[in-house]
Order: sequence, then C-alpha cells, then structure tokens
Amino acid sequence: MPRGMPATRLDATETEPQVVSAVSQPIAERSPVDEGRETPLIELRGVEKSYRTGTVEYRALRGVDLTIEAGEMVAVVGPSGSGKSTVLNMITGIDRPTAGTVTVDGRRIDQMTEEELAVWRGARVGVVFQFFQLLPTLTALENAMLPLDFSRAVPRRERPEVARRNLELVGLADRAGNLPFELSGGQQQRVAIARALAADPPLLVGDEPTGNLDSGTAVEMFDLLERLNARGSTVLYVTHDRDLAARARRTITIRDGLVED
Amino acid sequence: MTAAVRKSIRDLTRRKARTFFTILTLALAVASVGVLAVPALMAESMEREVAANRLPDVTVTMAPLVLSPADLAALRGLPNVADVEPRALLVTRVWSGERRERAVVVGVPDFGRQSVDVVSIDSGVAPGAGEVLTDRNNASRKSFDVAAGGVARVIGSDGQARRLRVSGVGRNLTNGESDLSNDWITLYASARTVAELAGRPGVTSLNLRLRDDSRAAAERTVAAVRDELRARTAFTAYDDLPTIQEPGSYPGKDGFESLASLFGIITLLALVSALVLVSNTMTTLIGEQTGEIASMKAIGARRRDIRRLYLRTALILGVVGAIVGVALGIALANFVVGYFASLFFGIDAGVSVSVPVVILSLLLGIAGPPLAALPAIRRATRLPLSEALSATGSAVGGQGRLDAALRRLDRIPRSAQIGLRSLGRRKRRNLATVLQVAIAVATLLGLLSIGTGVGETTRQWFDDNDYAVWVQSVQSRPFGAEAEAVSRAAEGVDEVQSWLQNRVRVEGRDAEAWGLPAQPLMDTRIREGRWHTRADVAGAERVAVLGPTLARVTGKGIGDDVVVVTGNGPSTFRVVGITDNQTDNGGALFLPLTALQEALGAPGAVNNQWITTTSDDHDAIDRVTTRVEDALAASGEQVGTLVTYDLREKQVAANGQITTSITILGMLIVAISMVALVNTITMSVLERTREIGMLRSVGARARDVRRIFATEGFAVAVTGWLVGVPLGYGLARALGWAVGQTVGIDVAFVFPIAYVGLALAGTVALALLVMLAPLRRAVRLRPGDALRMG
Repeated sequence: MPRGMPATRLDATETEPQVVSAVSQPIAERSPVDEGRETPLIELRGVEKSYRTGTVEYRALRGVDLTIEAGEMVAVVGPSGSGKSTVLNMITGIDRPTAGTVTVDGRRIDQMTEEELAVWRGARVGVVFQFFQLLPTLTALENAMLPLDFSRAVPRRERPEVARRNLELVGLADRAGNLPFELSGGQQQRVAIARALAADPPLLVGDEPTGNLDSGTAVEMFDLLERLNARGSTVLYVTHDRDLAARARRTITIRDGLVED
Repeated sequence: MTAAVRKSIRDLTRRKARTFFTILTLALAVASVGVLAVPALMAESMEREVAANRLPDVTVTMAPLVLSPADLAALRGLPNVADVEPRALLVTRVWSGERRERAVVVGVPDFGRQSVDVVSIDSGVAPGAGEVLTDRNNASRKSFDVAAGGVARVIGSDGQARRLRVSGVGRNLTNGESDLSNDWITLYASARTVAELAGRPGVTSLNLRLRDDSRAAAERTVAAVRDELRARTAFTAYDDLPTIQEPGSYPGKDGFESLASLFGIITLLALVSALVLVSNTMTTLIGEQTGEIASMKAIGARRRDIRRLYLRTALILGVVGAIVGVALGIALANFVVGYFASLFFGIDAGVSVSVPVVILSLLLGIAGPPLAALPAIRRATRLPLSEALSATGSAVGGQGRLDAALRRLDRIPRSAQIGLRSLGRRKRRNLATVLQVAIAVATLLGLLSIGTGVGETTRQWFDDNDYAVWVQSVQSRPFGAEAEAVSRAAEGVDEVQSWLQNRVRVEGRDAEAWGLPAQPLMDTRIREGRWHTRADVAGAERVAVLGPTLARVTGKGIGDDVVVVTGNGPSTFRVVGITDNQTDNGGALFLPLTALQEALGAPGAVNNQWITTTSDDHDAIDRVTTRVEDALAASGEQVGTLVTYDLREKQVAANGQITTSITILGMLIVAISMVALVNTITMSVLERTREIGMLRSVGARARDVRRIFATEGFAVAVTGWLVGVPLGYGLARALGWAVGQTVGIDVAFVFPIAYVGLALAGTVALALLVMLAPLRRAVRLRPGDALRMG
C-alpha cells in the first residue's frame, strides 16, 4: 500500500469493510506515486458496447484497446458521438461492455456484480459529472462525505473532518454549510470534486468536468485536477476543449468507437 | 395525425408507469361515482321483483275466517279493489336438526292462479296434499337445509309433528324477504294443508291490489272491505292495523335507503381522495415538462399553443380513464346491488345500468384531468423562459422551513436522512399523498367505530331486557284468559309478565304501541320525565312515554298531547316521559297496559308474554321455551317465541354483516390512498433516476437506495396516519350522527385506542407492500442507464 490508502475489502457481502489505516492524513503527506508499477492501472481489451433502442442497434464502441498507467493524466477526446463517455463508463463500471475485458487496478470489473461495482467505485474511483449531480437537500459538507457514508470506510465521527479537508483543498472550506442552490456552478463542481476525493481514490474520472463552467472557472478547475495528479492520483477526463486537452500529458482520441492511432 | 397529437400520445407512452397510475387513479375516481347508482339500481331491481310478485297495496289480518268463492268475488267487486288474494298463515315450529325453530306456513289456495303476493316456484313443483315448498332463504340464512325431496317435520297446533314432503323451493317477497331480524323458517303449502296443521279452516289475511293506491283511497277501501266482511260473514274486526304499502315502496326499503345514504358519504370521501390524486398527478406530469415547454416557447410557441397541447394530453388521459372507470363503476354498482339484494331481500338483482350516473361519470372522467391540469399548465407557461431553460444538474430542494427542520435529524443513517429530506422536494405531491392516506385511515377508523358502536347498541338493547323468553301470539291476536297461568305452570318458569302490542298511528306516523305494566321486565331508560306508575295502570290513565325517534319526528315533549289512532279509533294521551329505548328504531310508544286495552276496546287483552326462567343456562332456557310452546299450543294458542340469548347472537351477527359490507366499500378509499402512495414513490424514483445513477456511482449499495425511498414512503404513510387519527375521530362522530338521523338509532360512540394501533399497523403493512415494485425498480437501475435518463 504505497499511498497509505485504507485497505477496504471489496466483497459486496461485507457489511463493515476492514479499515487498515484511516484516511486521516493530510493530502500533502501522502506518498508519491509508485512509478515502478508493473501492470497498467487500466486496461481495455477488445471492448465493444452496443445500445439497442427499439429495433435500432447502435454500436458505441467497436473494439477498443487501451492502457493507462497509474499516475497518468489522460484526456479522452473525439467528435460528438464517438464513444468518449462510453469509454469512461466502461472504466468506472457505470456501463458494462457487450464484449471484451476491462481491468482496473488488477480487477476484472466487467465480471463484477452491480453491488460489487458500487462498493468498488465508492472506494477506488472518484467520479465527477458534467452537471455536478449534487444532492440538493445535503449541505456541501454532507455531499462531500457521501461516499464515506456509503462505504463506512471511516468512523462516523471522522467523516466530517475528512470532508472538510477536501473542501479546503478545493477552496470551499468556508461554504461547508451551504446548500447547492446557494453555490455557483463553479462552486458546485468543486464540491463534486471534493466528493470524488472522499475515499482518496487512486483514480479520478471526469466526464466533461469543466463543460458547464465559464472559461476562467474551467481553468481553475483544471489547475486543481493537475495538482491532484501531481500528488499521485490518476486523472482521466473527457473534454471537447482543445486547450484543456492539450494540458494533459497524454491524449486518447476516440473516433467512430475506436481508438485512433 | 398532427405533430402535436403525436406529441401528446408519445408523452403518455414515454412514461408508461406514470400513465398507467394516472389512468388507474382516474378510473377509481370515476368508479366511485358509479356507487351513486346503487339506490336507483336497487329500486329498479325491486320494482321488477314487486311487479313479478304483484306486491299487495293493502294487507288486512283477522281471526281465521272461512270465505266462500262468492265472498271473494264480492270483495273483488268493491270499488277500487283490483284483486284480492286470501292467505292462511300458521305460526308454528319446525324441527331443524335437533332444535325446534320458529316457522310460518303460508297457505295458498291455488298456486297456479295467484293474483296478488305471488309465491314463485324457483325449482320443483307446487306442493300438493301433505307437501310444502321451502323458501329459498331457509337454507342460506336460517340453517334449515331440508332440500326438495326431503321431509320437513312441521308441528301442528295439536303439538304433533307431521312429516311433509318438500316439493320444491319457492320465494315470496312479503313472507320470505330477509329483513335481517327475521329468522323465521318460511314454508308454503296449500290452504288445505295449513287447515289440517292448524286444526281449523279459514283465511287469516287478505292481500289487496288497488286501482288507486293513494293513502286516502287505501283507507277507504280498508273500511269498505271491513263492512263487506261484516255483512257477509262472522267477521267482527281486524286483528291489527291494516298494512298500507306506500306507493313505490317495498319491504325493507327504508332500511336499505338508510344504508345507501351511508354509501353516499363513502362515495364522497372516495371522490375527494381520487380527485386530489388526479390533480396531483397532472401537476407532476406538467411539471416534468417545464423544460420542453420552455423550449417550445423559445422557438415561438404561444401560451395558447402550449395550453392546447397539454389540455389535449389531459383529455386523452381523461377519455381512457373515463371509459375504464365507467366499466369499473358499472361492475362495482352491480356488485354492491347484487350483494345487498341477496343479503336483504334474498333476490337475484341481475345486471343493469343507470344511464344518468354513467353520463355523470363520463363527464367527470373526461373533464376532470383537463380541469385539474389547468393550474399547472398556467404555472408552467408563465414561468420565465430563462428560468425554465437553465439546467443546474442539482434539482431544486432543501430551501424551506420543513427542510431546515429535517436537516436537524442528523443522528440517523445518511440514506434515511436523504429519504426524509426528500419530503420537502415535492411538497405539494407529498402533502396530497399524506392527505389521501389520512382520508383512508379516517375512513377505516370511522367505519370501525360505527360498526363497533352499532354492535354495542345492539348488545345494550338486549342487555336492557330482563326476560329470557318472549312469547308472541300469532298476528297479534289476543291470548286466551288462561294463557298466563298455562305459561306459569311450565317447569322452569320463574315469572310471566303479560302485555299488549299493537300497531297504531301517532300524529300520522305508523308506530308500535306497547301496553306495559308499571314495572316491565326491561330497562325503561327514561331520559326525560317519568315512566307510568302503578296508579296510572290501575286507573287506565291516558299517559304515554315516547321513544326518542318518535319524540323527535313528532316534536312532542313532556306535557304535550298525542293523538293515537287504533283499529278502534283515535284516543288522546298526554306525554309524561321520553325514553332512550331503541324499540322500533326508537319509534315506539309506551302506554299503561290498561290504557291501551281501553283504547282498543279490548279490556283484558294481552298478546305477549315475557318470561324469566329459574336457570340462565342456555339449554335450560331452550327446554323451558319448548315446554311453554307445547303447553300454550295444547291450550289452543298459536304462538311464536323469541329466545333472548339466541336473538342477541343473531342480531349482532346480522349487524356485523352490514358493517362488514360498508367496510368493504370503504376499502375503495384505502385502494385509492395506496395508489397515491405507489404513485408518489414511483414518481420520486422516476424523477430522481439520474440521482440514483449518481448515488450508485459514488458507492451506494442496493440497500442504501432502498432505504432512501422506503424512508420517504414510510414517512408519508405515517404522517398520513397521524393526520388521519383525529380526522377519523371526527368522522366517527359524524357517522354516528348520520346513522342516528337516517336509521333512528342512537348509536353508542366507541373509539378504542386499539383501532388506532390497528390502523397504524395496517398503514405500515400496506405501505410496505405497495412500495415493493417501485423500490425494486430503483435498485435494479444500472448506473449507466440511470445517468442517461432523467
């Protein structure tokens, strides 16, 4: 465990995951990424995805092969309808492939049940949505600690502290008690990022994370993602913005459901 | 088909679950209106039955009188007499298993040529010599299950049992109709067989159909028949006041119409509940389309274009809902009519339709949804375009005082907190659902209360009686002078109290007059004034005690005079007391025995005995009853007996049947409330589909998602119960008052705490059951599919 993460057991039948070490360390104290990892963090082999609506079948992915190493910052780009978001959904387990294999952090997530996926995501993946998807009846602090409430990886009394630190990281420590409707779009997206960081996951995924923000806020948000990558998180994001895509160390282009060479 | 019409149809088919629930709700609302047809359909069935039976307009009774064909022809020739049918009734007993049950054998001169009060043959053949027909209700309600081909052991007036073959099954509206307190076994035989059983020939009643059935004409005809009989036979006087049927009436009509008025209350509650649900659903439907409405406005649609579009959608819903609802309503009304026709009258009501109610139902169903949608359409079309088009990704919610209060509940699991806080996100819809659950809980509590109250009142009436056996003479004819001594001499008899019962008219209203001693074997329950004294009885004082209903309808009070019309003419009595006694539904008149005898011109006449026994054991009471019956029969008296403990059990059971039937109807309201709850949770799941996807993406397990929505559902259900309890108390009071006003009984008010707990248990259990499907839907959603929806 190079990065001091809580070693949660991912068996969905467990009611109380076993916590090896609590996520109570300040972000700055975490160990740097292990660049000597032998296997990639993410590996897709021959992944296909078809959607059927009525009698129409639409092939979103036609056999995608790609690997992403731990600690990378990768932008997924491509024209509208190319399958970019679908690739992200395959990696997070939000969608299942109709063919092929998806391996993330050593686990074949295409073989996991929905319950196993939910538990796994709560512990290992932070997802940031384009439209924030905050719960309107929870405060910023409560939204930020939601994954911890579901995973129970951290004792109850420690969860607010973890969430508060993440809010501080995204610059919203003073808005912890505000409801989403009291926050701007940019602030809501920061809360969403804080939520994604709750369990200190090794992988951060964003589907157009800045798509609903003005350019200035988008730049600030991207700076934050870069800082998170610098401290060791693998960051993967879909974007239409060429400038933002250019800031990634690596770009994967998807066109017509395939990875473009 | 235009694009607009296609959109309307697609809007409905896009959300199949929501459309289904809306149509179901509307159909239930329309069906509840169908219950309003019940009185009219029942009247229609009864009119057919009355016409088939040729129900008499007037019935007069007398001591056994031999009438020749010429006598009958002379009676038929009287002015205003359309037809006359004689009957010979014998009140006796019949063996049913090891018990002797009260029975009446109706003697029909000629089964093939009946002109009035027809005895129909359902199966088998008309009885010949030594044969009887068994009434169709004997087996189902009176445990007399001797079928056609079997043998009925009927006890004659000489006390000997005769074996009479049962030739078939018959029915008759007047004698066999099941007024629920009538537990006499009814048999039909030839007049000759009855004469043999009675030990004497002669008719005991004449059934008349009149050309002019108005009251005045009927009374003139009664007098004319009396004069004709006096002129031609040994007849002197009628035994009792003639029964004059009100035009359009039928036996048991008053009781049924009183019950039907309670249906009206339930129908109203069901309608209110359903309309709230329809309104709520239309508001949700329109509210969901706010973005689309904004898009249409942005590309040039005017308010009236948008209004027309959604009114069309509502109209489509209305038409489908109305058609389904009308069909359901017809089925429901016919089911209720069929059930009560069988229960009350032992008849098969058939199937019929009330056109006015169908038209009303259709109008309500078609017009309801568009009208219900208007406020929501108005709000949606007036929303500023920018506001409607903006998408924040976080739905609105959490801003009110309720939300602030719910945020304080932070000790419970997060998923439960999310569920509870969701209550504030659709306040109007949740409030409407709370209201519907409350109406259902209130209805159940009100019906349980009234049912228990009716049972309590019934038990109280019987508890007021100090006698074990009530002996009645046949058709109110006076006992002989030795009757009391005969009864007193029977083994096991402790005390015998003789009294006189007669039908009279008081201030133009039919009433039971009881001539009683100063200390009757019953609780007099004097509410105002006093009971009559020994001195009143000794002096045959013209004083009267009124039952509560009689006092109310006549407006008479202490010190007032009442005119009492008997077969012997009018007499004036002074009111000295008002009682709470519920005899004759509170409409009885209690007089000193001697005063009633004097008013009837029948000094010393008594036709009832109350008997107390030396033992309270039921078997002992049965034996005493048998001995008294045999002894009186041997002395020439024709009597029937009522055993208090047995009658009490049967009456309580009969009341239970009625209250159960009303409660079943009340289930309609419970069904609507449960539909509302399913609707609310389903809508909640549908609206928050994307949110469910997000929750699953951040680690929520199936149980977390289930707990979120289950908490919301249970909170709505339990809040509805909380509101429903005080409403139910109020409704119980109102129903008690309504029953008192319509039926004339002062129903005891009971509202046990146990029922409140029962209502909570029922609400929670039903909520759990109806939420299963939407909860299953919520947890089965795949995150990817969920995030793409919404």
